[in-house]
Amino acid sequence: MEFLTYLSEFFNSGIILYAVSLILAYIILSVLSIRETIFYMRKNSFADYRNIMTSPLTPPVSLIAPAYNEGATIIENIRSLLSLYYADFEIIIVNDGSTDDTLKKIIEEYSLVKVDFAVNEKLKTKSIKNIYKSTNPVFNKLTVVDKENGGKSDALNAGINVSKNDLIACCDVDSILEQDSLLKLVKPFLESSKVKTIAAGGVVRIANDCEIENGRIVKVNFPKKFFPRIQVLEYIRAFLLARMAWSRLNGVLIISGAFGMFEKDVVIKAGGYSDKTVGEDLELVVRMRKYMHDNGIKYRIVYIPDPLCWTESPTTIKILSRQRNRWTRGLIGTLFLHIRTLFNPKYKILGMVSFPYWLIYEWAAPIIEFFGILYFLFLAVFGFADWTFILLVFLAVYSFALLYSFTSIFIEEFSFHQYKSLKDIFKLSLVAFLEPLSFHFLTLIWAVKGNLDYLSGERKWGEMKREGFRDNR
Amino acid sequence: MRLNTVLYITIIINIIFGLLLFVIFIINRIIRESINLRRQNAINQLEPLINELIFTEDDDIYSWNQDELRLIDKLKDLIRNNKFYTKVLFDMLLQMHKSLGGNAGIELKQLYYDLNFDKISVEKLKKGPWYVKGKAIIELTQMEVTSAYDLICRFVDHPEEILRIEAQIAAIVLKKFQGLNFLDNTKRPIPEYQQINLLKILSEFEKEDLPDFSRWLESKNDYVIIFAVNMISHFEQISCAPKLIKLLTHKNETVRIAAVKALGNLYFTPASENFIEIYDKETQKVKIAILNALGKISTKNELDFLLRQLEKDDYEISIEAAKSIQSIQRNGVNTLESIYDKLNDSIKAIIKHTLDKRIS
Repeated sequence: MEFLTYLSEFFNSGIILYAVSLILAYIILSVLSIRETIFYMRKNSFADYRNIMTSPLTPPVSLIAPAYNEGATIIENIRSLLSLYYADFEIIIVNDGSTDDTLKKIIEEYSLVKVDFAVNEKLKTKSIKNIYKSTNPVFNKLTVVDKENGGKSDALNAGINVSKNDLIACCDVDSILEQDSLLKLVKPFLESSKVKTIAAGGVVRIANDCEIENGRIVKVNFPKKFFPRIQVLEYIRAFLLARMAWSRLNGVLIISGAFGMFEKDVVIKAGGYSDKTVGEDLELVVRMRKYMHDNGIKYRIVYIPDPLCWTESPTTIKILSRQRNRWTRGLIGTLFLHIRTLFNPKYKILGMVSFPYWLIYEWAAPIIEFFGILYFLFLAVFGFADWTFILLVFLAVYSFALLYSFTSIFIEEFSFHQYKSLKDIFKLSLVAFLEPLSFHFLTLIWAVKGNLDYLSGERKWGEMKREGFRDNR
Repeated sequence: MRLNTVLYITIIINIIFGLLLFVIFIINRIIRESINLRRQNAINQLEPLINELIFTEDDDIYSWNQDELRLIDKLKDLIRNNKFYTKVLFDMLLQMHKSLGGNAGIELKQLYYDLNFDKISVEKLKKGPWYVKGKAIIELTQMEVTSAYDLICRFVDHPEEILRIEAQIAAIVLKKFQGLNFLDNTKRPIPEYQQINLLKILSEFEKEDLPDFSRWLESKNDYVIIFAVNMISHFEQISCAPKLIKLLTHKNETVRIAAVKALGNLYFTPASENFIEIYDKETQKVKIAILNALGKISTKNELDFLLRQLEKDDYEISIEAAKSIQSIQRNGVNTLESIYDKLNDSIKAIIKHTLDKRIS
């Protein structure tokens, strides 16, 4: 009995200590993020992107978009990419062995023919079958690579091999990019002088139920379905709170696979996208950072709070669970691959702050919380529960979760103000109240399942079927 | 302190901060709407007066007639002791001036002076934080307040990058090329973004009036050299080309690359010898820049050199050499076609790639 009391005290204190440290970390990140966002907004009020657009000094960019079975929307997707504002850029669509009519549709719509393209195979990829260019000069920016299926990383690496410019932007072909997104994302590279910018990312937003015309978001609407609504809140929290703070610390560890820009030379020297993990976007950034440290080159990775990319979020539990499962497996894969980075002073902020944070809070948090809940259930079932304590812990965590969500909504309101109607803000606030009591438990289960799947050797991406954007023309 | 007490305190703090955020949020929305409404009311009163002032037929745009002076008095009455109206009118003038040229623009500028708005901008420049100072510089530049030149020049080497860029742009706009004097002494970097902005301003002037940028080629600041080289290249100051040759041995790789590119863009044929001379000892990036530049300036004399590079077992070198050979006058394509059969498969592929006009 005495042993059980000691055990109970130990778990109680442990969980509280962990929760307090997590809350402190979130508070620090929030403060940093607010400061960084304010600084960015002030600084950016001076930016005139027309100068970047028209200048002969602006570097050309290669935009790479892998496509797998995107036949339903590929024509509109490419049209949308072709309409981006940027003086000198090429679009490389990599058809990653689609089994549907993706390639056929592109060939017909854009009058493509095979060309004798000599590929500079700096990164090993599955075999490229053909490369196509258009006979219509209007589409001379477009290059289509048809290759054997090898997964997203392999497709991106093939795109990098084909690209001709020093700056590459990688995006999901079915995402909607803001028309000035390339101009905004190239700016951090242009601003660097003594410290080299090697990667930059922007905010990804949820496009479900937004009004879309000609592949562009013309009116931002709050999603109608429950799951996309929750993801709106999650994305605001993740991008406006967490990543902006990491950007201030120069500790960004992930540039979203939905849209990011990179210095090609560093990507190649770091080894390109890896197929050893399904979290290729996270893993690449870790490797690029390590490469820079190993070679003693000063660098920075920048996050900008502008909404640059709109993506369709999963609307069903089945697809959502696959996505979260994959995110968890991607995270563990990356952490395991680079475990020697942990608390390695050679890697400075990467080794001493970012990597430990991701391990202790991003990876371990759901597991600790899951077992914490099991532990409380155990106490309850066997009559050892101190209900006052359990209730207080729950209320403390819940109220903090609410505060954290409200802070992100607050930053959104004072920065980009995407949801103009007060009604939408109230809906978003309601989601903030409901999420910790409902959806959060699902994310815990998916995270634990992701860990188990990783341990059992599951390395597949998992099918991500989307409904597709409805053009409101 | 007991654990439960800590938890109680945490919950109370969370609730207080949560409520605080909510209250600020709601107050902000209310204030924002109320300000918009007030601003619209102010605009409704101010706009007709300004329109009447600047769009009335007038023989002399540089002085006000009696009717116009009466309108100005009305404007002064409206903004007297009213900071909000002053701010709205200030913003309106700048906004309208930005979109209107010709006589209307001149009159708006005159109005800005007559309402003493230049003093407001100068005050902001003296006292505000960096982002207010930056805006003040933009206002003074837009309204061409040349008397503020010396004050603005204090910021051309400011540690805050944005302030520095705006001050440098302002200096050039207000005093033309005299404004470029900051290049003589600056020790700070001039990143590409800043170069883009400076180039934009310089491009608005007559080409003949441009200064000789070669005077900055010996600067101790490599960023200044790179900027000067880029300007020489962009404004095609061919007379500076011989001085660029000296930079081919500069210790900074980025300077060497800029010099090679500029010599190529200027079609300075004598540079080809220097290129070939330094080539073997150069880094990969400079080599590629040299091959690219040779494509623009080379003659048949460099063909042997380019053919040797074409056969190198290095994709980047080989393809750049192929492109350069292709662009040698009329014979380039013929040369590539004539040697095609003698080459190995990877070089053949590169030649096919180069000759396909849809690719490049």
